[in-house]
Amino acid sequence: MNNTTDRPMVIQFYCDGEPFPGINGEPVAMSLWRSGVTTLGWNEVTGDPRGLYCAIGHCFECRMMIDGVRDQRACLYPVREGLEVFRQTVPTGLGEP
Amino acid sequence: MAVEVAVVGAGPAGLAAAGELGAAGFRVALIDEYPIPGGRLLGQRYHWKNLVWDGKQQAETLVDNVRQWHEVRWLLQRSVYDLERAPSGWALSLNPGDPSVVYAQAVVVATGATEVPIPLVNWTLPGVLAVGAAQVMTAVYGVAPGRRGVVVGANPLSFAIAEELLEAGVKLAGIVMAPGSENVDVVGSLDDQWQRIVGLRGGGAWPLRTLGRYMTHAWVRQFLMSHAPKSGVPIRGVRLRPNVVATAVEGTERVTGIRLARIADHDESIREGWSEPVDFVCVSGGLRPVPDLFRIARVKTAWVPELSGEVPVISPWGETSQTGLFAVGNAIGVESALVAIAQGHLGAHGVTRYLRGQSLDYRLAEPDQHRIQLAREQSPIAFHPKIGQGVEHLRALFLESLGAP
Repeated sequence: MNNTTDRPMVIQFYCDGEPFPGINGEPVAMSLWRSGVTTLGWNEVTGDPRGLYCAIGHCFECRMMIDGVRDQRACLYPVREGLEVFRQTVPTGLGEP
Repeated sequence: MAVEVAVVGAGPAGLAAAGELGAAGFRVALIDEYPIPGGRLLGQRYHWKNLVWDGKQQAETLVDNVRQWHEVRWLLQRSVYDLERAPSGWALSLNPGDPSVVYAQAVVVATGATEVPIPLVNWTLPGVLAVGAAQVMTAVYGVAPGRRGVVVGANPLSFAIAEELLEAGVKLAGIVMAPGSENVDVVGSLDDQWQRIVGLRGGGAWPLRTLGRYMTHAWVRQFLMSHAPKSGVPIRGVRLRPNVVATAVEGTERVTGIRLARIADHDESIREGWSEPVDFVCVSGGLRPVPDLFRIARVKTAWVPELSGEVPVISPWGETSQTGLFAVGNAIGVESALVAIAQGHLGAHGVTRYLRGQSLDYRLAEPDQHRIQLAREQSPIAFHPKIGQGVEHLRALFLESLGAP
């Protein structure tokens, strides 16, 4: 289970199409924070910036579209070479506003 | 997938339980939504009686122990979102699937605790973090939450993590109080917060220990706390600012500062306000057991303040009011990892007896219960000064439930 700590492997992934470095296996939110990206999405109603809060999957504040699936928790999702993540701006599952 | 036991949560309690169940030869599914096992042990690193409590090392030992049992299947990165009775015992629904359902004859719930938030003006800004998040970032991934932060809310968890952050080279403007609120029960009035600080047991060198004895008197406590210097008093390197409250988070795209205020000593009213530059804010209302799966399974629960929240009424073997459903670790009361590990062992022994049709007479649990008590006494941190009373209360509720028709 030490594959994330034994030999850190630097990979490249994409957020909103822009390349970012990350350490293979660490959560997406950690790689983005290290690169200075703290806004992981915008509130669906107010448009306010939202980001990491609890970092252990409880609060769902860090929802992003990852691997083509919406509302994935960026604090849990392991980053890997070529992974595509997107910041979300529109409501989900609520139909058209 | 069909197994004999499903363990939900791969933190200290779940890993300890899975290790014992593996050793007993059972087919086990060990489920956790995090990609790495270890739970909150992973970030723990505390100085304790001239020793260092190295949670990461503890986690590795527990994980290695489980790994030697090939009948334990690891199901990481999966959340359990439903728990229902099935003909053979229980059916657990997983997301994402693969497998989508795990059938188990017995279940051990080891879902741990969650952090209680403290609402502050502007607290949805990126850069406002649960104090545990700052710990995960710093200690597990080597990501600094910022250059200089502030911790809002004083409790055993925030003290321990503030110490860890300082050691990692992160600067802190100290630990300030949450705005006094009678409506938010985890916060309460400022004096409620002070009383909890005075009641803290921190490993070995609590400088308030001598003063703390006198601070059980309300007027002594209120006088000393309200007359502390604005910059605070150092407690194990962390500046506690007992008469400074956070009133708002500042910033537009992310945190740029914190609005603070000093309170008047006589009525806790706000006397002056000012801003301090910080690039992250940790809020900490303490820890609370996660009751979700107990509610879904309609387990009988009780509100036990000394155990930090709503906990299942369990037998001395860890069995809940639902047959074959056991509970261990912080999910049954917030305590240190040492206690959680001992509870994991006890729960596994209870499950073993249950599956083998052996007696679950509670007197037989005495040796395991004794080990839990020893762990409690040896723990570096007591999350509540009266944990023993909470445990007794829960035991009384269990005995009462035996008498119920």
